[in-house]
Amino acid sequence: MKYAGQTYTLNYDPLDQQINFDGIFRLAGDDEVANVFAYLTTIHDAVQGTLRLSFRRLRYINAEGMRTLSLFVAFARGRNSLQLLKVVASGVLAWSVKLLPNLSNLWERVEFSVYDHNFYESQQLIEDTAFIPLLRNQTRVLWPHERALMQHHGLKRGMRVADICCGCGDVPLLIARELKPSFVVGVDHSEAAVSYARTLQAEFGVHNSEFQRGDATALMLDDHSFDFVSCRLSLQIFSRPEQILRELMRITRPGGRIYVTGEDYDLIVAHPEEAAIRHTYERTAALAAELGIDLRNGRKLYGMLNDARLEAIRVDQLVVDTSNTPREDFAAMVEQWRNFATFSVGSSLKLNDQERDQLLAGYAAHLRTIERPNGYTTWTTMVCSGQKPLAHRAE
Amino acid sequence: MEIGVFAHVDPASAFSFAIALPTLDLQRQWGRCNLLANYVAEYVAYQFPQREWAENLISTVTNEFLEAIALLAPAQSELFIRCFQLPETLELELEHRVEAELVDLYMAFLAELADSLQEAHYFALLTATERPAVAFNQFGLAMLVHDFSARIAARLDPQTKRICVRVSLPTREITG
Repeated sequence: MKYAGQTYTLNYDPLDQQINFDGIFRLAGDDEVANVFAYLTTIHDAVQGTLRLSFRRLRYINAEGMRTLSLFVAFARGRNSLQLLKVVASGVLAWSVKLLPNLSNLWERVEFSVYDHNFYESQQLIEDTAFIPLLRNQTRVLWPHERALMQHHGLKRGMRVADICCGCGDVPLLIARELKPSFVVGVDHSEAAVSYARTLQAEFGVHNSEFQRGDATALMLDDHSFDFVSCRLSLQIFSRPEQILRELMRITRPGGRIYVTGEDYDLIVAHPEEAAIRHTYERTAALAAELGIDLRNGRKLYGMLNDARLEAIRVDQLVVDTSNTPREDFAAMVEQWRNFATFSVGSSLKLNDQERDQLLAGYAAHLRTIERPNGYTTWTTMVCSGQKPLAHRAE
Repeated sequence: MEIGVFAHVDPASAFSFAIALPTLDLQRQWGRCNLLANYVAEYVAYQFPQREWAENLISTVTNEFLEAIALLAPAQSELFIRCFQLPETLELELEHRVEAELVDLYMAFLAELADSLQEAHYFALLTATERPAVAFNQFGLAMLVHDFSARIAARLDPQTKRICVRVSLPTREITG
């Protein structure tokens, strides 16, 4: 059941018992207030237990909009039939964090929460400025190979491209510069990463790109508006990647392609010192799992896209190794991995000195292998893409 | 007559801009308050690293301010919007004429906002089942003070009934 104003929609999802507010809810006039109020109360009377009001995709509200919500809370309090009225804000939207908590003061059964506050376990680590050098080093190693793979997976000149969870923005900018799409938007939840991306954009002199801070599970991007939507090395950090995939599907035009990549630490191969290196990455994967990061996520991507009913799914392995990548670049990336695993993750999980030393020793073995002229090692990323069915046009 | 404190602005050193427009434009097409607020927000927020947060907050504040003033100013009058950035605050200023019968009421309300807005009064405005009998956006202005830590100052010229209202928004609010 849906109610549409000029600049907003209210859409009830019975599966979640949730009303999704979308757009700009700046109400004007008593008639509009009355119509919205009538819609909310109709939904209210059809719900038992908990009703959720989600404002994660509502860009703006005004005083009349807030007053209407307060009237609805008063109505619910008077009816006294709901057990809980959950009000869900977005940490990206200043208004929602500032104004919505006031509703909790109107009725003790109103529960206010910010959806993307600690919404994945490793958020503090991943969104820290210190994570950016790791991303940059990975791009230096991956891009020379991934450039062609993206084209193989359907990225063409003139397309509208969205890169969701774009990190520090270097990949969308490289896409803009080298693959000539008509427009690229990069979205990331990290303030530090988006700020870095904008600085990099100025340095690259790229004009057909834009960066947004946003929540990947509630994107401020229109339905069916992109030809090629990528989400690289990011589904692995979320405990419910299907929520992101749903948003990728929503913003992709029917017939457009969704491109995802993921790591698989079991596919890291090295020689010599293979036992020590293998043990190190198994241990790292185990530690990451404690923070909700799945470093064996690559093998699951095909199934995720298949479950999402994408068509014409393609899978490739992007293998970077010491024969196709400069050894110093490979080593710089592994040094960043070492620092992240040992110090950032290690501190977060309160590793003791012995555990930390073991990890450092393992990464040192890997670095020795990379530096040896005869040493060989690989890092494999699974690349998977699928086409959004044309039937989605009917939605 | 002056309410609150007007921070000194050195136009030579501060980032600033000004817009003049007919009140009637906003009154005929209420959606223009939204458009103008979004324009001001985008223009100002560009310089903040936390751009989305800043834009969202500045637009929300500016829209409430505009919606309040647009109802008070006579249709045939002109609105002047000015914006200055000071080290600790962003100053939004609206200068306009007020319908003669609303002057005292409006100034009294601004004085309350500038002095100390009572929590009970804020929630009374939020939960009011009817709009205030005197048509100006009291709750919107109260929101600025209560929820965005804005400070209000106002200056009235009793001869011309022109009023200049300034909203000082702390930079720490804009940077999240």
